[in-house]
Amino acid sequence: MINQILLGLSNGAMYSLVAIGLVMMYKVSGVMNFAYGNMGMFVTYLVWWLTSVIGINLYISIVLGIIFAALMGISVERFGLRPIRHLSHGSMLIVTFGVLMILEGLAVQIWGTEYKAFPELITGTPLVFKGDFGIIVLRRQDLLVFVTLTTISILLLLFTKYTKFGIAVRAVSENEEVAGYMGINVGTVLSFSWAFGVSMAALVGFISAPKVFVSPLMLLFYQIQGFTAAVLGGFETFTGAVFGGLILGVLEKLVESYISEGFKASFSLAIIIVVLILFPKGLFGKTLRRRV
Amino acid sequence: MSKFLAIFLSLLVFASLFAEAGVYSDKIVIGTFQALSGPYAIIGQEMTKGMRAYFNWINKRGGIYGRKIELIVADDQLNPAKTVVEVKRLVEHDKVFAIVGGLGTYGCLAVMDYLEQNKVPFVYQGAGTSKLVVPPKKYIFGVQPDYTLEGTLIAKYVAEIAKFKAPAIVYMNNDIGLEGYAAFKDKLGDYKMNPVAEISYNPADTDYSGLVVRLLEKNPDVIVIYGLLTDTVRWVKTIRDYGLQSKIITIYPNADPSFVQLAGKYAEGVILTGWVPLATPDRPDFVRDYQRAISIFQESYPKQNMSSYAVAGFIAAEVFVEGLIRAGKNLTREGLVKALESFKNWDGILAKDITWGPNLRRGKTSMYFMTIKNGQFLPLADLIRP
Repeated sequence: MINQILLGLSNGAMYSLVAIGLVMMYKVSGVMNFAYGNMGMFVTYLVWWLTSVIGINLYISIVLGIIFAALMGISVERFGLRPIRHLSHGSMLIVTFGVLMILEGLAVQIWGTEYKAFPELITGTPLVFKGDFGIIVLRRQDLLVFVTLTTISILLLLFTKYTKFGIAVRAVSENEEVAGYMGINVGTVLSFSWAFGVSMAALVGFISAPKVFVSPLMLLFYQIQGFTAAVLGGFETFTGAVFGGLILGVLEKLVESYISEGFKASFSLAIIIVVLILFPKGLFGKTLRRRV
Repeated sequence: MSKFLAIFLSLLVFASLFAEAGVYSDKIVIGTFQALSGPYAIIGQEMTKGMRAYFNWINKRGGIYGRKIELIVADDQLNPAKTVVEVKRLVEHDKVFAIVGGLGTYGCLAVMDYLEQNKVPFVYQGAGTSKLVVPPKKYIFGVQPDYTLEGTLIAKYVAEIAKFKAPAIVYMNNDIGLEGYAAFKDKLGDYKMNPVAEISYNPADTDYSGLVVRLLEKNPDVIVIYGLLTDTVRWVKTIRDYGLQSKIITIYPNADPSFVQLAGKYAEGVILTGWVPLATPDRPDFVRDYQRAISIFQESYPKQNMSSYAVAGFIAAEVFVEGLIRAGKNLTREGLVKALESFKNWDGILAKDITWGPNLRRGKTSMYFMTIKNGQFLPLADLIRP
């Protein structure tokens, strides 16, 4: 039981990372980014190419990858979405679909459809604890995911609470128009949200690539799970994204080991539907209170 | 004059009634369906190359009884809905004599009944389901081993040859996995054995750590994995990361250099089944055959290496051509069926030990086992039969 919860938390932490990126973009720009997974996939391909073909050090390649991801996010937002921002929400969604297809097509054209092996970011034997409670196994990969999630969550919390720019991000997500009147540069905040979001997608790509291998559809599964996690936790808050992911991960593992492996996806989704009927704004969503 | 014309026309009609579809005085037109585009293009393109290379080689030497072989390749992107349309087009519009080497389990199943009812021979399916050949269908000739045969042979290897005591099985929750699992468990029963752990999984999942704990609890001495490339590699990594030292056996679709490349050091010691002989120094006859196949392949594709998918295409073409030779000069579909039924442990260049008979459509009834050492495939046991 303890093992299953730990494993669930580890998987869930990955979903949380995906959800944080999605929520950041959604909160600020109001667009659900369907190209999220593919943007991460493309950057992962690039990093694979830099390390395996060009021969650059893995960690330098990752830094270059994150910079590229941020630039890609900024350009898509600045040149693809901002010009049509005030036209319609639907057309912005279509743009993200377009980006999704372009990136997938490009990846297939440039790198082909064969799976590529990606180096492990952290290696070593797992920590195994045996005792009255049975066997508990903690893999180094799990530790890496936990540490990454915790660091990012704390930084994000400090950033949005205590820095001027963080407060500006919150202000724009609350009300873009008023924030503009207050002298906040809305454009910069929009660019930042996409740079941050796509960098998160890339990060998820790097962490998961040794396991799922680099291929055009590598992040499809994580994108769906991250989206589900965000819906479960509440699409409006980072707390929701973090805990939504963790809860989804644990839920899946428990269903898998105590009910049936085959029912994992459908059962967890059914529970989410029930949760949403009870809490339409997600578990951590804020209900809007208006003064009369 | 009109009398002559009438006689001439009726003769023409009479002749066309008895002429076999796709067979002309100077050529035989055949069809195949392959994923030439889409995500599986890498497999379809390679398999097509293997077939083309062999047919080009035959055509360059004058064809079969003076008839060149013309291959029409339909691109179905490994989508069974497209396969049905493409195969109907090949049969009804292009009037092909036979379908050779179709790729994909679901596509092959989707056109199986249609081809059988229309009496179109379908030789070699790039698929592993036993539904194609059991029960036997007159016009469907399988070559690749199916998962039932493979499961049976793995059980025999585990219980009788390598004498493992506590086998576990991990299988995909789909047609391939379920078929292999059922056959494996059934055959183990003959030895009064039962798997110590049976784990089904979803191949789309990216994490098997929750399931591997169940293996840890049972500590099996051998784990049989019924999975395809990426998820098998994921399983092997997870099993080793969790400190399990059990032997691992997996199925023939993984016996490809890409498995070694993806799994890296984790591939070491993994045992795989195979049905195309390995060209290793201890078998000079296989080395000679393999070099011959490569020289035939490179006549059409200079300097290119032959992937295992190209080998599959090569074998499809090879068995079909042998069938044409045996069918004789007056080629008919019925004649081809009779000719193929006369194969008994037939060895070609790469095709080995192919047998069909009046009520036998499973071409291969034997497989062998190999292992990976220093990134190379090494044979472990000679051909094993159920």
